[in-house]
Amino acid sequence: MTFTIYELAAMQPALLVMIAGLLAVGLDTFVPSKTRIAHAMLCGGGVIAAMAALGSQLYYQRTAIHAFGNMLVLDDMACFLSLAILAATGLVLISSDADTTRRNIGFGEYYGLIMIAASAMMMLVASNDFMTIFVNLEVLSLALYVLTGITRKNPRSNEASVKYLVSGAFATCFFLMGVAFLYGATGTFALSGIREALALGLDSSMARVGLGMVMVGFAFKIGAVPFHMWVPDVYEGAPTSTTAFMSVTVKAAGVGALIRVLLIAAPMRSDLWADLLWWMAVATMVVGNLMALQQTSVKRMLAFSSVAHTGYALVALATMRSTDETFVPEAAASALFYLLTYTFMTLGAFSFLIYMGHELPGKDGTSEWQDAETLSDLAGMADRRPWAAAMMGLFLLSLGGIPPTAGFLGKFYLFAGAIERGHVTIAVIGVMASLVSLYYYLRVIVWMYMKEPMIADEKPHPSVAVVIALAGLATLLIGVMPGAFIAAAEHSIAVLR
Amino acid sequence: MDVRFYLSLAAVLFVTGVYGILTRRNAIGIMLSVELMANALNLNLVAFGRYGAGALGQVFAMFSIALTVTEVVVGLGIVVLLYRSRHDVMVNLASEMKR
Amino acid sequence: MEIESSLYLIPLLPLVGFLVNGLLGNQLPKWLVAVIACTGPFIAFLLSVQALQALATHPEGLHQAMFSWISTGTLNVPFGLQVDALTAIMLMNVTGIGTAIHLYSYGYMHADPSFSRFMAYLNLFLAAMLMLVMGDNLLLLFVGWEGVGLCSYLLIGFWYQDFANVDAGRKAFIVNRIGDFAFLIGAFTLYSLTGTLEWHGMEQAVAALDLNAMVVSGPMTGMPIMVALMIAGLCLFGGATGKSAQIPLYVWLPDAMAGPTPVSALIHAATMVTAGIYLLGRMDFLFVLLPAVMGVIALVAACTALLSGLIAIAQNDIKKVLAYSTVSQLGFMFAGMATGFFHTGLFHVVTHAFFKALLFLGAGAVIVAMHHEQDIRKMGGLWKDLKGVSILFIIGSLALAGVPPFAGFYSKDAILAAVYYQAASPGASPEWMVIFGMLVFTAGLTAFYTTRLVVLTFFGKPADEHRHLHEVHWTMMAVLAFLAALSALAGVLGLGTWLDTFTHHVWSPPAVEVNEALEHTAHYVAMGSSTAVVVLGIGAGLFLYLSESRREALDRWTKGSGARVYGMASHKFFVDEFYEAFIVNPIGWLAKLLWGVVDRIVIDSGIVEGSALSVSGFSAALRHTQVGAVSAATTSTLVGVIVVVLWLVLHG
Repeated sequence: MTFTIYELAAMQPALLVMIAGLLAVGLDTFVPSKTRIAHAMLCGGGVIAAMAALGSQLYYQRTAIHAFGNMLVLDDMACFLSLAILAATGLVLISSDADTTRRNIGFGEYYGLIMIAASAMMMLVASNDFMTIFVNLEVLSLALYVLTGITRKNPRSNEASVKYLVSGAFATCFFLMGVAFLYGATGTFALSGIREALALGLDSSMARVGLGMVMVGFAFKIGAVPFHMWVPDVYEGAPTSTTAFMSVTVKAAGVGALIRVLLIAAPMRSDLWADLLWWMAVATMVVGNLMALQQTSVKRMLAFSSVAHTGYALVALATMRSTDETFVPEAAASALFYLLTYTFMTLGAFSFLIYMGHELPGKDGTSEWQDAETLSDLAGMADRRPWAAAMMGLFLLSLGGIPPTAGFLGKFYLFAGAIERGHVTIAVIGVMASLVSLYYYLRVIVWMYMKEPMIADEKPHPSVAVVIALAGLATLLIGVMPGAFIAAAEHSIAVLR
Repeated sequence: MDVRFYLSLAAVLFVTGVYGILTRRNAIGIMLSVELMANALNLNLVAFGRYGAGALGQVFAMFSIALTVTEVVVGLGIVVLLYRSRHDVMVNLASEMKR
Repeated sequence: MEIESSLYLIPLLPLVGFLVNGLLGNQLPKWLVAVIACTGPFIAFLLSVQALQALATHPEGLHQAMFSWISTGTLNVPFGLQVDALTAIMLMNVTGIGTAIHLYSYGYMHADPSFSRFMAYLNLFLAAMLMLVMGDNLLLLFVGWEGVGLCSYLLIGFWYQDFANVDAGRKAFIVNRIGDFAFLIGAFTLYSLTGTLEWHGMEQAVAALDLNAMVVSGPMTGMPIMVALMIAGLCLFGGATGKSAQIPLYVWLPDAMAGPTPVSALIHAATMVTAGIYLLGRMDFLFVLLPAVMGVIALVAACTALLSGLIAIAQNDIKKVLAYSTVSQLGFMFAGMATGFFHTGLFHVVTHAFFKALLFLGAGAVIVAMHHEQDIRKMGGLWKDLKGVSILFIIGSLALAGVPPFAGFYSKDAILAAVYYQAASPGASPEWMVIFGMLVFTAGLTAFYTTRLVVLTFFGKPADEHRHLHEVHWTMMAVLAFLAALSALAGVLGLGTWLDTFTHHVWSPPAVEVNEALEHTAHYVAMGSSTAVVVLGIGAGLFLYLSESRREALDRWTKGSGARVYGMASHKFFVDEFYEAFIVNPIGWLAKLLWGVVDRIVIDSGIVEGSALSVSGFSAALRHTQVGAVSAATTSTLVGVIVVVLWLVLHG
């Protein structure tokens, strides 16, 4: 196998992000530890350059780049999801300014890890071969394990990190075992090769077990029931900007890669995996929402709500096979669009929690930062911080699927499509689940708007305000003018066929 | 030898690893169990590669070994941090997070 | 200015008011907040008048396409605004009464510390309501539908210091979610049948359907189209029962009275609760095809009217009486819509908005004067001290009771006539006669409880001789006078006939030719019977409540031998308790159960502590070993893997 330099173009956006991240780590040696301008400019520049590269790929090149023996392919879906991931990364970089300065986290390692994870995710959604899928999945997981535990002296953070690592490694082993079985059954790691082999009739139970274990690996990463148990603890223990980052980007990358695996490697066995995903989606929506209903901590509630949203996104995959037995891969577009809407509303909601952080007096005269976590931390904020509270209200309504926000359109597009393909039951369950979810989202609004303030010393961080404003803008924009975004999502799926 | 012998050995190793992860409280023990599982699947990959599927299996196994090692290194690093803040490495994770 | 191209200003102006007051209102002086809040609705009102006039030259309706909201291969939804005769009437209603109530709110609420927030919510409500009636497709209607629900929720809980209010808001919210669920299912069903959500496209697509054929694609394949349409119709009506407070979802409206009184007047009497009736009118092309569904709607409406009329008799909170009467009157409107003579329902929407807003606002004035006392048993004799308010309130009551020549008489009469027409038509199903009887009886009940309300509040002996009444702000009086004039004169001036001709061309024509002779008969029967029951009701009310001794006798009866009958009504026939026991609690249990099983048992005792309670045989096997560590997450992962693998192997 020989590679041409041209093939590097497929990796170019991800490479830009990776290089910026590595440089940011190295920068720690050269600049004083209290300045963050250099890091911010470097990483911001990397994100913007990568976005520009993706933009030029989308608008000038137009044809997909297959590289390294078709192990990586930079097609429209990869570009779409990479852009979503980059947008989220950019926003997180801005909002993590609060976490790093408040908690004394090294800028180099924090920004560097975020950039490395983002780069791995971008390559993950472009991966066309289990080899690259595995490597990128592993790199992004490693970065996230460390990010989760990055507040080194915080036991909660440490525990979350260990828990994430142990259960993540456990799930990865199953994923790899699945890959090994698929390899044993088909003799290849390439997704298209697997499809050809399966089409030749190599559909043994070994291949089926392999496919199942691979799906388990993805289900774990995106937090689908019953592989979701790590989600609340890890999301709660991690610094909030990390939580925001992983709750949106991992989901986008994981679902994207899952779509690619299912559509390219196993489209002819949709009868198998669609039914499986059907149950998984239902369980995820029901359990996620019912658990979120019980939470008093907003951060934990948002963690369970993110589980529930995984369930909604899975509805699109589960209904790819219509009830009259035709396979409709276009259905996956609604999952992509849903993930896009989810990205901004969830990022916004978590950022609001950072924004509302306050200082707690510690034991030895020092003070410790505490992000807003419980309902009482947010009580009465509508009067004191009307803009930010209004934005939080917007994010919550969007998460609950109230028009005219992005979340409503995402759900509408999703469930209307499911019904169109004949899957009434799952759509009904989904609509009911999202109506239930409104109850706990509205509870936060009630506390913000209908209670007296309980804390008086919140210290809003200005750069987080920027994130909240941008995320709010995006949530409204996608809600009011979703046309281009939906078209892009549909186009992304169309090229996969 | 038949590929099935390798697969059987790998299955035994894998299940041992699973059992270890589920039963160990000690973080080091858990890491070792993860290694057992990883070795089992590496054995599978190599065996499949040797018996028919081609050299890619071995290549994949190399990647897998490298990344598993990284994982364990990172894991041990985090465990050290946990030890510093709590002075033990018993991962009874239902404690701090439970409410 | 060409009005067709500036339709967007109508919902936009209140929205701007909301943004300004909501975000900056804290820093602005109160008068400026009020000016900002009232200007938007007022200009919207002027624009609506222009739109109404423009309809004379554009009978097909005005339409402003803004942009393509969703456009994909399969789903195309435009973002456009339209005004036809039906919308124009709703617009006049919403912006006209809305402006008046904004003005009144200044007088009523200006001392409240959160005044600017209140006005901002009111403006947001108005914007959402205008979106609801102006959207040119079902999805935009839903945008407004959810928006008004949200505002209603925020405003009910406005005085959150009182925890009951927050609870009431929550109840309204949950009950409306159930309605929304039905609404969405109906909308999806209709969409899968017609392939569009636009009013015009949907109307054409429904007209083109062959009702005897089967559905050939989509989820309802093999089902007769007629049945599918009936499902859609019933589900949409289910949505309407939530928003417009009909059986079985009416329970939230009386509790919603916890909000400030202008809110009760604007949202829970004049505008938002008529959204369901608007929906029926908008989807007339669907409902005229479904006589069976129309029968169901009429029956539900009549039962709601009767039930809530009965409850209203036994209420002592002035706002609760009015709330139940609103539910009851909404029943009348639905019954009118269900006859297929849609203009009768719409007529009652308009007149009801006049007199019920008047009554609520009048009640608000009384409540302010009484220092926030709402119990009518503690009022009495207000006539002497509050002459102006009393006269205006009594005008509203006469209109509500249906006394000629007040507006309520005309519209209620039109509905009764339409129902009788249905009942007496050859081949009509017998239920219509029952419905007619129920409605006539309810008309009598209405007169009775209205009389009771007026007598207890304004006449008789004051409960407290030494009370000092609070002054009523002039803006409040001005608004009351304006609404009283409308309530008194709207009917006499021929609003009903004008509405009939004005909206005639928007309704889908009834399946059979209208029989003019029968129409006349119906008119006389309705007028005769309703006048008779109204006279009876008022007479009974005066007889029982005007004299002190008979009132005491009545009191003794309700506490003694009549306690059981009276208790049923005063406890609202225990519907709330029924819902609590059979719907709310089981859901709570389910959530708790899941919480308990997954979290408590699994983590605390099941696996971690190694107790006998375990999720699966697998962990039971591990029980005697040293179980622990990260087990909750890993065990559930392992269980998941086993399930997935078994599934895939067995489904070969």
